Amino acid sequence: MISNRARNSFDQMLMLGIKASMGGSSPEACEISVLADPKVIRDTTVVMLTVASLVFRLSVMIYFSSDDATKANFARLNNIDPTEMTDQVFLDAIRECGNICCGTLNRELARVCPHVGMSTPNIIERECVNHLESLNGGHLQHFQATVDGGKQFHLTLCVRDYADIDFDWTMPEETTGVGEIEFF
Amino acid sequence: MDNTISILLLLFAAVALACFLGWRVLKLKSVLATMVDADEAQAQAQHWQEMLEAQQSESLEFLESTDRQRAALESEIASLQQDSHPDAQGQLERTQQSSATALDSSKSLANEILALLDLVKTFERWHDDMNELIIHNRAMHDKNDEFASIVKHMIIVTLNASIEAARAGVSGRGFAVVADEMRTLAARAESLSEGYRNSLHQNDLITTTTFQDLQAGGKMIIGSLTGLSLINNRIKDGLSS
Repeated sequence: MISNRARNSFDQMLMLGIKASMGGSSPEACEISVLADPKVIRDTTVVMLTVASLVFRLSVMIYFSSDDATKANFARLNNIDPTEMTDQVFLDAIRECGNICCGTLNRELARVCPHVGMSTPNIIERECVNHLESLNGGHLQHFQATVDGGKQFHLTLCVRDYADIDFDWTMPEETTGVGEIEFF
Repeated sequence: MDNTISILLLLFAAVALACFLGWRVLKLKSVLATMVDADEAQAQAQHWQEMLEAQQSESLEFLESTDRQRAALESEIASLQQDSHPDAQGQLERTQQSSATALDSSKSLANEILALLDLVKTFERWHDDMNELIIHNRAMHDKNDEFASIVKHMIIVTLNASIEAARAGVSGRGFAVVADEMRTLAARAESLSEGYRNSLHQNDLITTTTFQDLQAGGKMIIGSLTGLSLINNRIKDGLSS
């Protein structure tokens, strides 16, 4: 059983990670909202990472497509020319984005959980996420992030609990003001 | 006349003498009133002398009593010191022995932690095995995609066969039955392929999640062991110094 404040903390931590990984030089321009219906997600591929603790397993999935707009966005984030964005460079950039996002979340979790560890990223197909129910998550949330330039990304957070989870986490002072969760 | 003057002068002298004598008497009375009685003063002096002697006597007694108490306490302290010295020495030896044992244990623990940190090699092995599994899953996806392609082609073929059977008229009725049966089988194969594709995707998700859980759990253990090692080092340093 995951308490409401722990659920909210997981969400806020991930939002912090999204801003850190996708916001680039202006993370405050990154707008994040909770996505009620994940069926609107049309991306074809997912980069997945896991944070493990003694009492829960947290999976983060970032959806993306290998289209020009996405490649241009990651080229801008990594300060490289879009023409240099080969498939391998693009996948590396996606994995690095996942690393930064989940790494931020992992760092914040370490402030409230004594023992946590993070996996390396893996690329899976979008269809795999249709079977999220097989992970038996106690907390499942989908997000939509609109980064500077208008490009939209989607993410899924799935927390599988193995014991009662309740903790109190507060946003680090220098990054307060990540934004309100809005449902649509 | 001269006698009268003489008498007057004598009278005046006598009056003046009487006044002087009266004044002196009054003066003496006043002085006598302020003087202390010598007997009373002597009695008071005697009283104070006695009190002083009594105080001196009390002080001497108090001093003697204090000396006796001090001597008794010094004797008691000396006795206690004599009694406690062997215990303190024994305690010190036991403490030193415990410290040496703790230091040895801390060194053993450091070696165990160092050995456990080699767990990272086990995690790398799991990582490699899981990568093999993911590659294997990918190959199964490819085979299933090929199977789905064949099934789709079969459906087209069976459809064409049905059309050809219909064209053949009465003579093609038997062939039409076979073609219909083949189309039904192809449809079932397509459904099976789709189900298999879903199962493979589900398998990918479960495999990846499990693999990542193992990997993240491994890093969690390594992190904890590193923390344990740092604490042990501090204990070791404390015991060594």
